[in-house]
Amino acid sequence: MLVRRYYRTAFAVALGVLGNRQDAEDVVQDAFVKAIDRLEDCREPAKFVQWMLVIVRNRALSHRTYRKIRETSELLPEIAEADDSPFVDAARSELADTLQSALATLSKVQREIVLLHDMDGWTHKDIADSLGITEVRSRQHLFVARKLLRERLGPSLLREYSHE
Amino acid sequence: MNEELPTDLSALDPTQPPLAFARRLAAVRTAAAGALRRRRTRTPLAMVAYWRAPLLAALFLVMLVSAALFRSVQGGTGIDAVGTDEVADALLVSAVLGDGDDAQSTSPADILLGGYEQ
Repeated sequence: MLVRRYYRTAFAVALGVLGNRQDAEDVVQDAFVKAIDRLEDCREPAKFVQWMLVIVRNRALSHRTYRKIRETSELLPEIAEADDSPFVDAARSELADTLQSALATLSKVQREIVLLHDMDGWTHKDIADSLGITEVRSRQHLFVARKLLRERLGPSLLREYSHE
Repeated sequence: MNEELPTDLSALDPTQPPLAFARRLAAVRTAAAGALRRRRTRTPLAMVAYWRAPLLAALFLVMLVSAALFRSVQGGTGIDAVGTDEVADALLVSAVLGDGDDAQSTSPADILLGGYEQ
């Protein structure tokens, strides 16, 4: 139940750090297993999400370090990972690949903020609390991230909503 | 402005489509099976073992506080002792030397070594 509820949030953070959704899925799975194993460490159940996201972030950072070492030693092509994509729908998968490439050009913070805000519906206050930044800074990052995404993808590719 | 509108990142949403998400959840459930089994079969001894790190940390903290308290009590006695010595020294010197020119030429060391009497 916790996994179902927080999967997207955990994925947004992992994808923010790693920039690759296959790696992000691996990290999310790994982080949930660790969280279940160490549930006693979560002293405040009300702050479960924050606690969980710390695990996700740490796992993602470790994974990124591991990936860098692996890439420099083996030079694995990015395409190989895309082939293992669990996405069933081809068009959706293609769009996801395009979005992933565009997101990869953003900084880690920008990526995490745009994913948490636009994909998972977080408020700037929650994002600011989670990342230890101000709400104003969060807004600035989101603004720049959206601008860069639009430049990379073009306005036609992104469906925009007229409400927020 | 365009940047004030949210971008559609739903293609990246891992909870969509539902069938793919169900597969992801199943994968997590399988991976977590071991952890869940460990949780269910955790004995009292295993629980204590699990808490050994916090217990050791608490013990270390108690030791630190005890050491600090002990030191402060010891330090307090030391200051009193020094204070008493100084007062005694001052009293001895003033009593033996009194006020006058002799006091300037004789040091407390001379008194202790008997130099004043010579």
